[in-house]
Amino acid sequence: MAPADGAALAPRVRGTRRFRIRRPQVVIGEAIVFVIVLAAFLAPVIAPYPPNTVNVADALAPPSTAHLMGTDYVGRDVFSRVLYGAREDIVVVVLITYIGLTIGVLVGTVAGYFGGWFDAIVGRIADTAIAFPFIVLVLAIIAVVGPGIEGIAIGIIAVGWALYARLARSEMLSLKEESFMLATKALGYTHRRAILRHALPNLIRTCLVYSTVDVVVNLLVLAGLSYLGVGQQQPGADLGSIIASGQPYILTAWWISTMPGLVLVLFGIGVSLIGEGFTESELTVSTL
Amino acid sequence: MLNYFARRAGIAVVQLLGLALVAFALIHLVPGNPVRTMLGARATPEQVAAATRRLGLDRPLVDQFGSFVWGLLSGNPGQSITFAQPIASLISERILPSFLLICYGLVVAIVVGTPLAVFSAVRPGGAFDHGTRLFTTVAFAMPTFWLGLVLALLFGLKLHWLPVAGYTSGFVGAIRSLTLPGVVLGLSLLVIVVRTLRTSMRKVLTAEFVEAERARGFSTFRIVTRHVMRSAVMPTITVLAVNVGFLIGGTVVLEQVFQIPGVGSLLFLAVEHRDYPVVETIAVMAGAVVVVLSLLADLAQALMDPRVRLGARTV
Amino acid sequence: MTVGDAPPLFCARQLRIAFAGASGPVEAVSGVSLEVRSGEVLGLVGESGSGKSLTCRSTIRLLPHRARLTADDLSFEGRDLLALSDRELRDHRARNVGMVFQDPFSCLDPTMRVGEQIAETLRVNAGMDKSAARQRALEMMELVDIGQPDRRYLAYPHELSGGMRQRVAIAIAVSCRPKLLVADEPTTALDVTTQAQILALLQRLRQETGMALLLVSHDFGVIAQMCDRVAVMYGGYVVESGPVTSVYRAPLHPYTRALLSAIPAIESAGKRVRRTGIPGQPPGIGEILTGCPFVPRCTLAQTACTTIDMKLQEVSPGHANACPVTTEAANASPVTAGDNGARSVPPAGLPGVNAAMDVHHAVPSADGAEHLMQP
Repeated sequence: MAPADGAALAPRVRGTRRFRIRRPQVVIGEAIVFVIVLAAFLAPVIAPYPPNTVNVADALAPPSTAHLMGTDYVGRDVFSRVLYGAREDIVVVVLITYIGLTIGVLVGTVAGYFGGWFDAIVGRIADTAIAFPFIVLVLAIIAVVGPGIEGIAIGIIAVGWALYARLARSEMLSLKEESFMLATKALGYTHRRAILRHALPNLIRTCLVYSTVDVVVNLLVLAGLSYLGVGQQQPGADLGSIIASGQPYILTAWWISTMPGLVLVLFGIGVSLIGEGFTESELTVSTL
Repeated sequence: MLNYFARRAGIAVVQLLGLALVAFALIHLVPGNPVRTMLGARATPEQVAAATRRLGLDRPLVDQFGSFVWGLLSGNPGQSITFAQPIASLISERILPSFLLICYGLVVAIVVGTPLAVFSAVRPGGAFDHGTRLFTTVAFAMPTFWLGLVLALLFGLKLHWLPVAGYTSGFVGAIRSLTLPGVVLGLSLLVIVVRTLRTSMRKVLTAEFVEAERARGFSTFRIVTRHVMRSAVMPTITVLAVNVGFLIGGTVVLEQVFQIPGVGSLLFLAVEHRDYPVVETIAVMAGAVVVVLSLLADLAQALMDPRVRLGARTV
Repeated sequence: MTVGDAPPLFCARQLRIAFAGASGPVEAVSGVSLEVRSGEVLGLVGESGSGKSLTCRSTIRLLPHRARLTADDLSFEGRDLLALSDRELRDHRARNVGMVFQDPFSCLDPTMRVGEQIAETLRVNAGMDKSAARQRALEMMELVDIGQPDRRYLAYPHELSGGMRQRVAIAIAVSCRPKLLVADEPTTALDVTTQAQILALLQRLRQETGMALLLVSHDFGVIAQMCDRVAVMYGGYVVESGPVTSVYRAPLHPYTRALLSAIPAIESAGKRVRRTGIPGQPPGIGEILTGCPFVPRCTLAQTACTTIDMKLQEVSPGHANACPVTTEAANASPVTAGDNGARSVPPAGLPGVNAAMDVHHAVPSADGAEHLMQP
């Protein structure tokens, strides 16, 4: 790291020396997320049955050692379907969340850095995107492009970027006043270098912390729309559509809908716990 | 003050126009022919052309946008394709259950959330604070449709306390049929109420004037109810107003789960049947509700908080 | 003045206040003993971080959540403050002690009209009804020299100047006729002319009501002007205490001497010029020091100073010093402590302070009269 880099000026990440207190809730959150993600990605290895193989003779069997989460109305193994479904949901949610984050952070940072008309236009577009109730916009997009993951992804990204753009912009505005950012100007760095090397590492943290909330929200929206039947189409399964498929049998075969829901809830709790650990340790340290 | 009002209202108008533009662009500028998608693959070119003319889609785009906006403003946004009814009457028939459901959810979130936030703010880091945090985290991670199903199973199908689906008009009927979805909706919003109120209460509670009031011998109860809440409630209301969008999204899903004939289920039907005029109208309406409410919240805050002065807040 | 016989209004013995730190508790106040007698003015002087704020707040046990307070004795009019229930403690705060804070910008509820804040205190703490409280609040505003009280009653804090706000805060503090008024740096946040007015107001209120005043300041000039007795704090200890004339004329502890030589030369000109600063930094909270905390900055420090017990030793009647080096020198010297100390401090050139002290001493310090405070 050459001193000419200006690295000496810039606290690379605001508070690199900040010690993070590892709270038990963060560890629990990480454990939950790790187990679910691992199981989901090892679905082809772990799953005892192929997810879409019908076995009518075994339909609506309650949970047992043979079928951990029971079977559904055509005898498909719910546990296997949940594993594959979780994989599908996690991949989609992570992709759309972080595509939105990338777009939003770049746009917001540039807008905050330069200000002026670009900032004004970005600001108004972001305001508008945020004003739309999320699900309503996604449904409107689905009305145009037809049911499926694509519509949901477009819709979520179309709103998601705006949240990060706002966040990154306001962070950028306060960073701009800090001495190390002023120094990049004095040293005659290109804007590109000032933004990418010096501003971004400092503001990305806030956005990443926020993204833990966003992942949960997006997961719920995705699952909700799949449940409504406009997401993943049959026979492919994600958690939302498995829950929907079990709804008619909820009295006789409660497990079909309940089990995938529990996985969703657990995953959401895990991610939230991680996010909370972030914000809390940040808060406690910065207020001392 | 007036200056601030005007500026804030100006932003809202731009947002409203933006909403209309986005909704319009979605249907009219997206590649592919919406009329063809609507009529299906087997429609003849003549049928497509006739439908296009009937919907006014052959006119210049600026013209179409103009009449779209005018239709919204004049309260007559045109005719539904699938239902063969004016959109205005379709929506007005179904607005009441949706409105009541949103109110129910808000009331649940506020009534449950306020005490949770207050007690956890007074003793930060205490057992109650941790318990509340855990509870709201779980409530937040709960998918509304799934929680709705589980509650319906429990209170409707097993205990027979409440109806599982449908909507009965009249006071008692509405309350009974909206209780399950209302509680679910409220729980999903709970985390926002509790976090915002707790945070702004913490901020006020650590202010020096609170210490000065303790020095005067005031009880914690008096300090919290008479002084802290005054300052802490407004930011929470603003945040709630912005999150009405979240509630509206929740009702769309919950109306499906509980088969409530509201605007949300109308939107869903319209999406299924590709009834573009209805989709456009509902989308703009829902956005407009959010825009107008957050405008009102900001103005109310400016009026109520003696410190907010000219341009002190940007939106 | 035979002050020794009067029972103390507030008494603290071996007061310790500690915070939980990363590696065990950290003491911010380490065994302070103080007395405030009825009707007297006690000054508490020291740099920020010396523990003077915490010490003065112990009079009403108003400490941060995480602070742990222990004391051999902490009492008000002989009543053990540590044994009070929550309700009794609130009652003590409401009736016995009034408190004025440093920052008048933040010690009033920003969303409530100032008059109502005074009236609220009267309603809650003196049980007045609405109209009586309002009437009395207006009188209080007049008492603290707020012009046009009718109009100012309706003002919000942000609409008033700093001096006005501090007057409101004082009105609230004295509204229930406390026996002790604690003023924690009441003038620090104000400009110089306003400072003088606020000090004059406190002086007047004290004389009219006969309440005792515990005045906290980092400014020895202010203390010299206002107080009967002074306690000098450094690093959580009282390093010197005594009658203000004696401490002022013959400071013993090296810290007190350094502090006195830092007083602005020309008080009346309004422009403050530091004569000499004290080199070095006061100890930060959590720095673990044995012996005398002033050692790192002390010009007289000896090796033994790092192991001594910080104990006040009386040098002359009422005047005590925690520095064994200077105490020994004072005792060894044939002349009186007063003459001895005068040499170590710039003797002349403090006309403003001297004049103020003379004026003050012409006034009987305690008479217990409350005539002007009667409704």
